[in-house]
Amino acid sequence: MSIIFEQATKYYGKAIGIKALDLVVKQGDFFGFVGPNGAGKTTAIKLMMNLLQPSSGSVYIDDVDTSRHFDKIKASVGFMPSDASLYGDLTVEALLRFNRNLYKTDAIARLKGVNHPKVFEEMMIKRENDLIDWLNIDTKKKFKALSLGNKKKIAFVLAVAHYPNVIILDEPTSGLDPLIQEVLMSTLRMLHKEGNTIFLSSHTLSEVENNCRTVGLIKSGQMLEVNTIEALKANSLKEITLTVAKRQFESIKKWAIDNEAVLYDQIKEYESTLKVVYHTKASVTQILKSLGELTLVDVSIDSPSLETLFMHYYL
Amino acid sequence: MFTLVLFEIRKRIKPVFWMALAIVSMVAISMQFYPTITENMALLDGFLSTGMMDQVLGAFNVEVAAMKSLVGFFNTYCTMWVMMVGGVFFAYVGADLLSKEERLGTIDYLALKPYSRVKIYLSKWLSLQALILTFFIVITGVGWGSLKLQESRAPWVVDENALTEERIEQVVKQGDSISANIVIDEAIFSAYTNEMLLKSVTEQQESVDTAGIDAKGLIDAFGDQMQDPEALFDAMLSDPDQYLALFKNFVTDDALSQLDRASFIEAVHEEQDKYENLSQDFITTDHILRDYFKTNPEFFLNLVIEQNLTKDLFNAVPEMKKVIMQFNALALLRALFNMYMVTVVLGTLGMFMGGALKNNAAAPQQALGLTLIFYFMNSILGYEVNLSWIKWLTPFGYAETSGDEINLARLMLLFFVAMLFFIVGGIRYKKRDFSSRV
Repeated sequence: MSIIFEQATKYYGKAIGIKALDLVVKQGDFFGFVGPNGAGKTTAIKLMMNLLQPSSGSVYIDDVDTSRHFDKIKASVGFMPSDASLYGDLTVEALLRFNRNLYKTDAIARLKGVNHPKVFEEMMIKRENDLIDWLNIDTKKKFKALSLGNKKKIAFVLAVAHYPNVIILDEPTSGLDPLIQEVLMSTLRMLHKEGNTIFLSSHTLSEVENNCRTVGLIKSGQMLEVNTIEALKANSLKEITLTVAKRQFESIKKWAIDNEAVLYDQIKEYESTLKVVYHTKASVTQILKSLGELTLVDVSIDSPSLETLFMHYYL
Repeated sequence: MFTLVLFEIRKRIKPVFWMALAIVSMVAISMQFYPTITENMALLDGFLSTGMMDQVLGAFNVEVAAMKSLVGFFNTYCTMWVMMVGGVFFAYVGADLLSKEERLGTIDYLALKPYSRVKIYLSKWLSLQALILTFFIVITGVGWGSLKLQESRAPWVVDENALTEERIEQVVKQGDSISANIVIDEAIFSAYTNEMLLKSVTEQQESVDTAGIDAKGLIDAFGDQMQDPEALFDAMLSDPDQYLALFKNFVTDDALSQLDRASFIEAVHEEQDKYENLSQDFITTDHILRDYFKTNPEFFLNLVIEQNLTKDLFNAVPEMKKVIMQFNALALLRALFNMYMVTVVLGTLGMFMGGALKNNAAAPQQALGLTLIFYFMNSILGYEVNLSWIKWLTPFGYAETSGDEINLARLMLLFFVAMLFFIVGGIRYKKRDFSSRV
């Protein structure tokens, strides 16, 4: 199932949430939605989930306009909101049972390719039990008695228990310990391998870098850049770490001006040498050619981490 | 949808149950005062009908006369506890059903489940109905019980609604056996004629009757003299000029306004004779029920009650047990049904507020406040004759809480208006942003 934002705009009174946002997430993609706080991530997601009505433009999931006919595809969508709010007085068991009952209809069974609601219920129980094991959840406790991390685990289970084809997660790992984060991410990778579309909004860039195939950067309610992580890295800056004799530094500065390289960081200063980091948009071939003329102690050329890219886009 | 309805009911049944218990215990405690009230009825009657008290009680919908009967006494408290507290509570719950999901952010979960918003809205309303029904079943059950306990102490009361033509005929036919036992004197006759006169005047639509006399104005002008017709006739004959002049003030007919002194005196004599003949017949007849019952059945039934002849009447006409009773269960049910309908409407209005308002975090409190305003608008302003139309702006104004009747047309109109609000709320709910934090 694909997700398409078409000039989607949302105003809160006069304040802008997102502005003429265009975005295409292809069927079967693992999409990372990245941006600082207040960039419009949650607004975009809530628009997509029909929790908010667009001021103009549309969002389509599987070619269905979510502000008009969202009901048609609800059973195929899994959503994990950022603040994991559920009915506190219920035990986890009761919550899961209630959730299952909501999907216990003939129409949904047919949609999921089984012949009876009971069969689908069994499937849901199986998936729930697997996740409960992996995520180490105590199902006897009342929801409100759980820690934030545990609440998020339940919200995750509820988001994927009904075998959705497209899974939207709003900052799922915030507040979780690294071990659980990894379990959650590997579960998502597995779901992705099964052919589902994953839309992951995240603060944690390493998480996006390690898991997502495509990444979209949002700033002030508009997409800055949408590309595969590979392409994003290849097309963008190169990070060159040079170790040179101090007396050679002047010639390095000249090289930098000639090649439009920007001094990014001075990592270390030794007795007679310096270790500096430059960013440049020049191609690797170009860089190698120009570096040949310099006297260098050491050199490395890297693609920047997503974090570095992020800094580049937002600062 | 059944899953959603059941889910809501389970979540909310506890507070509803506690609320019902609180109200029911207030009612049960109130009923403990009933014996004291009946024992001191005469004293209380005098106190309550003084000007100030009458007005104060009127402001709180307390009908002094009605309070004396068992159901009337119960309703006096029911109106306060069930209508106001229950109404406020369910208006709050109605709004909270929708508002709470958004306040706590659980709507982000619920809205993604395979149910349309319309179904969510409808299922919340259905669960609200189930909760209100549960509440009223508890109230009715306990109310019934606490009244039954006091039944033997209660005075006998006539239920006008049960007074069918057929039953009246039966009393006329079979009433002779107790007619003889009914003691009739001048005072009773005087009370009878007064009531008849009052009845005929109040029932009359136009101020001027067919003969061209403004009877109502005339009776007002006579004032206290009407209490003793014999004395009034004497006064008229001793000073005919003054009374003729007074009479002419209330006459519109040309022929009558030309009336001379002699004809006036003659007419007064005539009326006096008629009155005396009637009085003679009334006091001496052995068939009082056969002859006069139809003219004012309630008057005679109250007479039977006053003279402790109810048992004799029941022996003669067993059907009358359905008309005269100590515990009028039907009146209790009628009153509770009225309150139930108003509560349904208030709950629905609460839901409208929760559904239609985008920033509905405060909707429950607003619904609660609005209900209180409705209640006092109806009570206090409804008592002021010039402003009595205001009660039609509040749901409370449509309910007949005395238990005298169920005005189905009026209640249906109220329900219909509430449903209009409900539909508007649903349309808004279907299309609006959820106000959970962004």
